Amino acid sequence: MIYAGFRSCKWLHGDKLQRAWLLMCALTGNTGREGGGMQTTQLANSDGVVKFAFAGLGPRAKIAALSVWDYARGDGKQLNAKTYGDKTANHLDEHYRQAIGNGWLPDYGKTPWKMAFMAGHNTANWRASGTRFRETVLAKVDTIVTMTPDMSVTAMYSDYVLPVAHHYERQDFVMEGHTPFIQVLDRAVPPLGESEDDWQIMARLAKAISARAIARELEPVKDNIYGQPVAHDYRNLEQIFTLNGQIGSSRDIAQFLIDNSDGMPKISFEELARRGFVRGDDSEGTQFGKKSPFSYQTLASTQDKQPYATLTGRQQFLFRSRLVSEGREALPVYVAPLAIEGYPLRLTMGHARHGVHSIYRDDPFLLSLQRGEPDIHVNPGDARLRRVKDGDLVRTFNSLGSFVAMARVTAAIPSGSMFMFHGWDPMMFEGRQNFGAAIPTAALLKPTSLVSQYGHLNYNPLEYAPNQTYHDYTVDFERHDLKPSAPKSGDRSAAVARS
Amino acid sequence: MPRQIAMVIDLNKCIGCQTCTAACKSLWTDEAGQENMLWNNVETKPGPGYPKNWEEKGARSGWKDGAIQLGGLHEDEDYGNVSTLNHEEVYFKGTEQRLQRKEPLRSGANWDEDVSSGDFPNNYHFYMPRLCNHCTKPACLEACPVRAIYKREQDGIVLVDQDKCVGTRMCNQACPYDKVYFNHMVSKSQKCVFCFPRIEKGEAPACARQCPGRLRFVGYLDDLDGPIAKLVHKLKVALPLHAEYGTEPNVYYVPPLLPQTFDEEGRFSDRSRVPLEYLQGLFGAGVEPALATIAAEMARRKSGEPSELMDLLIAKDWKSLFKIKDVQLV
Repeated sequence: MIYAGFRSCKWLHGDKLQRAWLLMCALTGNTGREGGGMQTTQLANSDGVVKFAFAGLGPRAKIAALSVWDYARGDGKQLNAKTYGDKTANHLDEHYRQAIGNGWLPDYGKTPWKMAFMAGHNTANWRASGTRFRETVLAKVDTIVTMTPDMSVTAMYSDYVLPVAHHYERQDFVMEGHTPFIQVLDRAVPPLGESEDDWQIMARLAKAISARAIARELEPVKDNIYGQPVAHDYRNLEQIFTLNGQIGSSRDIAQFLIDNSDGMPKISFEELARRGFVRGDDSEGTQFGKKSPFSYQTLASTQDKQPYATLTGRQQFLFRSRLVSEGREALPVYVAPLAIEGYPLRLTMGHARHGVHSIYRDDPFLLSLQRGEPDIHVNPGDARLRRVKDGDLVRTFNSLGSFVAMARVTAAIPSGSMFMFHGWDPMMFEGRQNFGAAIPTAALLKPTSLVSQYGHLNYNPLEYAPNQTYHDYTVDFERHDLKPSAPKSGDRSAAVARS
Repeated sequence: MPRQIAMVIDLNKCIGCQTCTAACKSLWTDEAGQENMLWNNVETKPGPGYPKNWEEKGARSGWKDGAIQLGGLHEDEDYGNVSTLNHEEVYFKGTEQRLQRKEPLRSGANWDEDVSSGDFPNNYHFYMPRLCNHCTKPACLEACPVRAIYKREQDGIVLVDQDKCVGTRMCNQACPYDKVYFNHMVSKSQKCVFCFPRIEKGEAPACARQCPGRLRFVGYLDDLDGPIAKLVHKLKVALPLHAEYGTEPNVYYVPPLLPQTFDEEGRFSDRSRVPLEYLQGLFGAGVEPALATIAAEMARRKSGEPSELMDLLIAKDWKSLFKIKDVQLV
C-alpha cells in the first residue's frame, strides 16, 4: 500500500506521479489485494452529512473548484505569463477556454463575489499565491464575514468577525480517515467571551435571513446545482436548516449524523461522550470495508468487480485522446517540474509538527518549543554562499514577491532546496507577507483536470476537478539586513515587488 | 526493602512531537515563575539540548571520587521561555507591527530541532526526551544543605520538599542533567515528581501515558515480570544516559538503530550514519551489544519466529508499556 496522503497532489504533475505509482502496483502484481494499491486517505463517508447538506433534506450545498474560480477572477493567465512565460500561460489558457466552451466547468467564476462568508478555514491565507488573492480578489468583495475561533489575516480582512467556540467548548465528533475511530469532542468548559458554537451561529443567521425574506416577500431564487435546476426559498431557510425545528443545537446535528450514517454504532451522543470514542463497523485491515463509515470506493472494483469509471472499465494507464493532446500526458512519463527562470532554489512546504495549518500557530507555549517566530530550513552550503548564519533573518524572493523569516541552517535539507512548515499566518511576518507572497502557482490548471466526458475524466468536485498546486516554482534568498540585490535583468515584476 | 520505579524510553520511536512536554507543562508547570521550566523536554541530538550545553555542565557536576561536584548555574537565556505575543496591539489597536513575541527568542528548549549533523543525504539526528532520572544516588539530594530533598522508600521517587526548601540552588548546581529548576517567584527549587499522585493510583506519569508513539515503559526495576526489568536487566537493550556522572539514573534509553549511509551511487553502504562513538558517549559501552541484540531479534521476527523483545518494543497493546500496580514482589 502506497500511502500517498495529500503531498504529491501539491505538484502540477502530481496526477502523473500517482498514475505512475498505480502503474507500478499493477506491473508488480500489487493491485487488488490486501496491502496493495495506493491511497490518499480513507474519506469519512458519513451519509448523514450527505443527507443533511447535499441531498435535499437540508439546505443543499454546492462545491466549486476554487482554483477555477480564482483563475477567472484573479486573471490567472497574466499571473502565469509573468511567472512562467507566454508559452506555458497560453497552453494552459487554451485548455481552460476549451473547457469552458465545451461546458465542462459548471462553476468557473462568471460572476464575482458580492459578499464572502468565511468559515472553517483561514481563507485569505491558505490559497496558493495568497497575497495576490487578497489583493486581486478579496479586495473587490463588498462585505466579508468571518467565523473563526482565533484571529488571523482573514479576520483582519473582514467587515464582521463572529467568534466561534473552541473544540472543547462545543459538542461534536471527529472522524479521520486513517483511524477507524469516531472520537467525541465534548464541551469541557463554556464558550469564552462572546464566542458561540458555529452551528448555532449559522442557525441564528438562517432565522434572521428567513425573517427578512418573509418581510420582503422574496420569491424563490433560481439556481443550478450540478446541472439540476433548483429554487432556493429563503423564506423557509430556517425550517430547512433546522429540519423543521428537529435540530436545535450542535449536539442534535451530531446525533443526526450518528443516526443517519451507515457503519456508525447507533448510540446517543451522551453515550459516545461517556465512551470517548467508538470504532466504526467493518474497519479492520489497511482498507476499511463496505459496511464501514469510510469510503469503500477503492475496494468496490477490486473486490466486488464493479467496473471503474474509466473508458475501458478497468484500471487505465493510457489516455488516447486529443483532449489530452500533449503526448507526455498519454502515459505517466517524467516531465520536469515548472520553475521560475533565474532562481536556483526550490521551496517546498509541509504540515507543521506543532499545529495544524494556521490555527493556534501563535500559541505562546508552542512557539517557545520552536524558534518563537516563523523560520525557514536552509542547507548549510547554500547559507554559507549567501553569508547567512543560523538564526539570521533572510528574505526569500522570486519574481512574484518576497517574505522574511529566520534561517534554520540544517544538513537535513539538500543543497538547492528550502523547506518551511506551512500555516504561519501572514500577520506574523514583516509587511504581513508570508510565503504566499512568493508562491505563484494559483493559476496552474492541469489540462487533464479540465477535461470532461472522457471516461473517469469528468468534472467532479472533491474527486476530479482542477486543484491548486503549491510547489512548482523556485526562489532565492539573501540576508535581510543587506541591501536587496538588484532584480534580475528584464524582470519587471521583481522591480515592482521591491519598489 | 526500598523499591525503585523506572522508565525506559525507546529512541527509535520518538518523532519529537512534544506531546509529553505539553502534557507535563499543562499538568505541573503552568504557573507564574515556572515559565522556563520543562520538567520533561525533548531535544535534538547531537545538539546543545536544554538547557543549552547541559552536558558541558554535566561533566563538571554529579559525583567524582565519592564527593559531589557543583558545576555552576546556567544563564536564564539557556532555558528559553514562554512569552506572550502582541495580539492586542496587532489585532485591536491598528498598529503595523507583525504579530510576535514580546520578548524575541534567541535560544530555547527546542531551538535546535531538526538541526542535523553530517552532510545530506548522510546527515543524522534523533530526538531525545529527558526528565528527572530519579537517581539511586541523587546528587541534588546530597548537595542540599537543609535536607529538603528526599527519596521515597516505596518507589524511589526523588522530591523537593517545598516547605523545607530555602532556595540555596545547590541542587541546581549539583544535578549533572540540569533537571532541577529554580522558581524565582517563590525562591524555591522545583523538579519532576514522576507524577507521584498518579503512580500512587497505579497510573503512568502523564508524559508516558500521553505519548502517541508508545515509546515509554514504566514499572519497577525489581519486578522481573515487568517491562523495565526485561529491557534493562534481562535483554540489556535499555541503557542509562551518561552513567559516568555517577548518580545511577533510573531513566533508561533504547539507543537508536544505526541506518546505513548512501554511497556515491545512492546505494546503501555498510557504514552507519550515526557514529557509534557518539552513541557510546551518551549511553556507554553497552550500546554495541544492545544494538546487536535488537538486530538479532528483528531478524528472528522477520523470519517468522517469536521475539519477546520485538513484542515489547512494538507495543501493540498500550497497557503492556506499564506495570505499576498489583506488582508481585520477588
